[in-house]
Amino acid sequence: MRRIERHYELSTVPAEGIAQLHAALDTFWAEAEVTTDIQIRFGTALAEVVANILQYAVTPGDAPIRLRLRCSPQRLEARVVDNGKAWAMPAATLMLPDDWEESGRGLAIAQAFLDTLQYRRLGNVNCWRLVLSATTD
Amino acid sequence: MRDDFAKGADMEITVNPAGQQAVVVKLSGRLDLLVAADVKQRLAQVVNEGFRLIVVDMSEVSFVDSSGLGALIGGLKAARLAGGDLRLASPGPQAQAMLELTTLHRVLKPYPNVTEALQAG
Repeated sequence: MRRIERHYELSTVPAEGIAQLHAALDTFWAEAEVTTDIQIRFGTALAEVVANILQYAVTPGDAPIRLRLRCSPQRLEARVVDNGKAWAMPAATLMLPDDWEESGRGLAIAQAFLDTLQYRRLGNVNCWRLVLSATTD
Repeated sequence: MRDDFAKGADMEITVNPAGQQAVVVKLSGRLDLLVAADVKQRLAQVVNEGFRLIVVDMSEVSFVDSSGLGALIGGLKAARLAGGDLRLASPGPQAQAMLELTTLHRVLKPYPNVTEALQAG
């Protein structure tokens, strides 16, 4: 994988933000030359984090979500920053619920697909960091 | 909020009966939080219409998120409550990865194609 860093802005209007996220991933993968398996794991995890932000942190019309995607020969990394409400992450959020539950899987899926999923509140912003090793099988 | 979420969503839902009791619900596009509520409602509707075997054709679904999985679970629950079943046909690699990671492939059983999903015991 080559070293690439790209910056994107995602609308806080859900349909727009999600379309922009998928477009950003498409252009990033066109440059980054990673395997389909890694694209699936990283892209799915990132989509879950962005969906979580759109559903629970921001409201439509808020300032855009800032996304930075980086890849190096060692790893893929995303930083996602929003100006929304602080996220109080309950421990149970990262455990997969019972098969018959219809919600509550998003962040557990993100964490399971990644090597690192980190959330921090920095001043007035939320900052998510996602890392996946490039050598993941 | 629902209107905001659904606006601009990228999903087509096509319903085709396959006999008296069976129906094929073909989804095309991204099965995500924008369309999950609509898909769940459509699946519940075919159960209410009397269909007992629902085959969800996933061959043209490009991406599934956790909300999309939730909609399929909702449809499966509605079908089971009515004494029926819901099966997935032709999930792509990303959908398959989601099903395996969450172990939901145990309850949302994927089949290679619509014909096999309809004919399975």
